[in-house]
Amino acid sequence: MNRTLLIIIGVVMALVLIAVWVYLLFFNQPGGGDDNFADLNFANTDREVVDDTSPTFSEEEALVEVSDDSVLKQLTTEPVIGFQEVAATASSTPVVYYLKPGTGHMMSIDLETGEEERVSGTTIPNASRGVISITGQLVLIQAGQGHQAELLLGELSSSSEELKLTTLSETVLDFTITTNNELLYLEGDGGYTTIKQYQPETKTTKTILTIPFAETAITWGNEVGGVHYIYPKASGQLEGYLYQVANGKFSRLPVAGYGLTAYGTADYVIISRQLTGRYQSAIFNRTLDQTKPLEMALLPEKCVLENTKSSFVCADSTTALKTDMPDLWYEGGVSYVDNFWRIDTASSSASLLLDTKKESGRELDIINLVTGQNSGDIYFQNKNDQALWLYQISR
Amino acid sequence: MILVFTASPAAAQLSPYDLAGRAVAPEIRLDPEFPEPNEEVTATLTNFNDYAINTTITWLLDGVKISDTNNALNISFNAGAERKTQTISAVIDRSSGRTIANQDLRPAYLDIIVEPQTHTPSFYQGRALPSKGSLVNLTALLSDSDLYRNGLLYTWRVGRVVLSGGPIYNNNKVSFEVPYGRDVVISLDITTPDGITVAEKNIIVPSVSPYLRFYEASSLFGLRTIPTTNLVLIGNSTAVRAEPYHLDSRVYNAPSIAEWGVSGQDYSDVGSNPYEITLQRTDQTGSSRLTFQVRDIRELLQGAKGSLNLSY
Repeated sequence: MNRTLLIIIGVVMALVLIAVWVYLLFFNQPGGGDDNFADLNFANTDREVVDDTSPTFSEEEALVEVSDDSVLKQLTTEPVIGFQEVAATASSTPVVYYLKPGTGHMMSIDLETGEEERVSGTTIPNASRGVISITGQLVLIQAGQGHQAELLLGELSSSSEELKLTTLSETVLDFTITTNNELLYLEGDGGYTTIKQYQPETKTTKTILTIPFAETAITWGNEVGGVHYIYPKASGQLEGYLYQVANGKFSRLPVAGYGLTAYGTADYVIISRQLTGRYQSAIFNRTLDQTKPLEMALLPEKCVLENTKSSFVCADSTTALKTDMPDLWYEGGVSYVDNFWRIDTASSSASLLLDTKKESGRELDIINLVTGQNSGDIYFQNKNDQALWLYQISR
Repeated sequence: MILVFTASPAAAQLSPYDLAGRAVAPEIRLDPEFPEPNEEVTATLTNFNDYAINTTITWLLDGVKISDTNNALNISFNAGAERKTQTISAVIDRSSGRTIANQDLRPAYLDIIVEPQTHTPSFYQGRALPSKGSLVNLTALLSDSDLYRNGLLYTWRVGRVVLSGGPIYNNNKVSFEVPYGRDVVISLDITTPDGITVAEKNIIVPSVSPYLRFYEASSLFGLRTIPTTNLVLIGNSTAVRAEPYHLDSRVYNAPSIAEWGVSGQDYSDVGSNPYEITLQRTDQTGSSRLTFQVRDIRELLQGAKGSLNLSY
């Protein structure tokens, strides 16, 4: 064959191949699966198609994983703005109520079955913070933020998901519902702050006391007539002083320091402040009028009284707290990986209860600890994402 | 008449004679002069150098001898409870006779609460700090002021400047503008109408420079409480708020300059809140630098600027 003929044959074959490729790429439509895959006729390949009967989860029927063995459980994946353990009777399984940000909707989680359902669908725009009574029937919700924040009282109807709303204050700074269902709130008033009590039965407001400064932080007592601790909001560069409100009187306690914060009961107060260039903690014994240093430095905001009343449970990190505390933590500039500790009030000693990262695999910067009145378990939020968690300390 | 001249201040202090040659009685000086309850106090005997043989000094607190203090020129003791007047006495027995020096003290707390009128975010639980030119409110709380039925005179000083023109009755709240400098010293003297000082205190108030932090903002969840310096736009849009910490509240509420910039270009299409910007995804991917500046043109130190990296 001569060279010319060979070349012609090669070119024709190339053109045919290109045409076939173009056809397959642009015009060929694949057939059904059954047409394209050979039946290889393996034995026992008959499959029984099972209808998916698993429930479709709606907001009312969501399930929270509560049945695993871990003592640390994440109850929500989304942020919450308030929560409370509620039990119908002393022997019934408690449920936890929580409030959703932005809407103020109230949800409940059954801690035995994990079932989640909506308790209240009343929308409160810009809901940013809330407190729920231990009966679950009363809720205080802050709408908005800053000095113009409004405080609303919600009373749950027994027959519907509706909250009956009453505006209590238009300059609220802080608020609580005591274990006796008493409503207390702190209101700003120029260079002063006022503690007020609202009585839903008579729809009246009573002034408990006026505090002579504006930048007020408060640790609420368990009842109106109990001991409430007051101090100027903390900064590591400004001196703070500890006061108490008891029996309607405002008086100074022998505790002061830069960056001072405090949390406590009528008998013991955990305090932290800057001392000799370091952030240090101590327990102030009210009966003996003495302060005893703690081995570890912690933030009193991360503590709660245990149901036993003789010890505190505190969240603390092994990372040394920096000297520019607590400002840097308030700003979000530092985040801690906390463990749970028990602080014995009599001896001022600390014992490790739980390594949370080992238990959960998550880094938890623990805030807003609340002791369940019925179970004694500890509910808290993770500051990193404001999600709600449960530590079953009673197990 | 004998005139006594001395080159030594210490000796002059302990001299039992004044410049006119009159005998001056021994006195007790307390340090601190106005102690808090249970605070440790040092009492020093002054105007006394007649320490001859057979001279003994005995210290008493409310008439009770303080042990292990015989013949000491100064001693330490703990002040008593609040609102309880105590008397510290030094009994000096010499061959020429007995002299007693007394000093009363009434322990009380004098707290000066510093409340800077500068900005912090609504979620911030702490107290703001003062910055140059910002207003600071001061509140004095004297724990037993209600015992002085005729009222008390408050004299406030910022550095050497006396506020309000002088002492004013029951003036326990004042305001001042922070001057230049790293710190400012605040002094307070509280006296009775007849001039007896009942309390005094000096504090140092720091002055910081404002700074910016950026936080993601959600219309549903509010402001995220963790600041960001590197933001990845995952959804279709997000909002970012610039928070100028410790900026004078007057400047924060009415800034002369509040400017956003994206990749070096000014961006002025923000909503009613000049501190918040909404970022919307386009078809492009890439990264930018988001900047923000806030400043007062009359007080240039009242300002802050910052930036964050944006990926989309």
